[in-house]
Amino acid sequence: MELFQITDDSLILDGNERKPICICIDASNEVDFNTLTDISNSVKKIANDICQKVEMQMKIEFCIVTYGEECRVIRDFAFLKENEFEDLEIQKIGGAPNLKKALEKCVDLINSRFSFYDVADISSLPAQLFLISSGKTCEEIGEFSNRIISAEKILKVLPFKIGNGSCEILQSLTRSGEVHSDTGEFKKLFEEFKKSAENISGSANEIFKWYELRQEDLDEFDEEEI
Amino acid sequence: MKTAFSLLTGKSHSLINAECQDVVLAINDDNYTLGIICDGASTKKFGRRSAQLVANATAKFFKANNDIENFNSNVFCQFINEYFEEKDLDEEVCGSTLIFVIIKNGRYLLGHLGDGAALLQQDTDFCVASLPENAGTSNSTFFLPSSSAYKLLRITTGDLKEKFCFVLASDGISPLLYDYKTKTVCKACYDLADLYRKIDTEQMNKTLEHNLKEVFSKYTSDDLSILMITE
Repeated sequence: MELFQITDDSLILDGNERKPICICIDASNEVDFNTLTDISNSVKKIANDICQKVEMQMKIEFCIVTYGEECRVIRDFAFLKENEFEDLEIQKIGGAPNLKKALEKCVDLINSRFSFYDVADISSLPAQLFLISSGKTCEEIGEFSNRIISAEKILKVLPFKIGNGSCEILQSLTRSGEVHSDTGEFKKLFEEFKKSAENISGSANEIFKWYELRQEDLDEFDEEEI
Repeated sequence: MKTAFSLLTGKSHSLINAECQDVVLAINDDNYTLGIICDGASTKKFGRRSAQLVANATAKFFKANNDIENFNSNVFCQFINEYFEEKDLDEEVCGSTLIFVIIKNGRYLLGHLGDGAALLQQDTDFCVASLPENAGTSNSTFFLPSSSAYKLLRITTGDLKEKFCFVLASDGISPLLYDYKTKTVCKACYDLADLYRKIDTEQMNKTLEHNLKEVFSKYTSDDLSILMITE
């Protein structure tokens, strides 16, 4: 017997618009425990801030992928639930970082989400891929970076370097070649993230309050340096 | 009276092989009909167990006290709290939301603590009978057991029309069922209510299961549970 299936448009979806955000995190041996803790806290803060506004909660879909020698989908695309990440701790995967494998996984997830949007007649803005990487990879990215750049209209990569690796690999993933790092470029990074957040949603600046907190830390650091 | 329900472990739990935190109970007694949905707090040590205990305690309470006209929130919450105390459990390690509806002699008593939602159709129109406590803000959902639960349990009573349908849903599903601004209930609820009047409970359970899996789960990674009661 064929079962009755309700249609997507018979549900309340707060408009047929989605804003997919994928966060890809290097959890290989190139990244230390403290940095992973710091990243976990930032992800938690972002998630909590999104949940503060139901409008945002019902539009932004969040996906988290971590990688080392292997790749793990911590969370596939879906709306955020309140307190969902309260106990989030990004676990170290270890091994050498396989950035290529991670990017392939992220692109697969984003593609499959876009396929669903097509079927459900949902419009979306370009997916944002926040790539938090040591800048190292054990497998050459090669032509894959060209594919990512050519898909810029549907996927924007925001690379964020957190280790000692090379910027070149990450630069190859964006048309502008811009890479942000933790060596004095935090302020720039925050601005870039804010800008991209504005593109995601007019009110999404709220999401990125945590940058301001981090920026205060940086200001203190700057003063110490002086 | 007919009761159908289904529940599904959300991706946020199935991906890590964790169990569903939602518990649903439906009781069709000679004197009354009772539907319960509990959502265990994943932040508590015994989230799933809490949901089961709150559901069991609620069923036990109404088995002994189903005179809904004389329902007392204080006595009810005290009963739940003591049920946990007997098992050496408290709000430090336990927590669950609760939505219940008991129907007897054409009257209903709806109780709600925490998030999730209860929708009610009378004749033709659906309305939101009970909203989630947090209204979209984080860290503000309430749980049982709790010493202050009697102040937080929201009770609604009323007469049921000849044609009615209750839809109770945990917070994984409830945002998809009504517009939080206009309180308009989605068309899917009307479709499901109409369908349930035409088919038996076994088929309806299968239909709900199918829709949780194929439709609702696309929009959330949370556990999903839904319960329907109709004339």
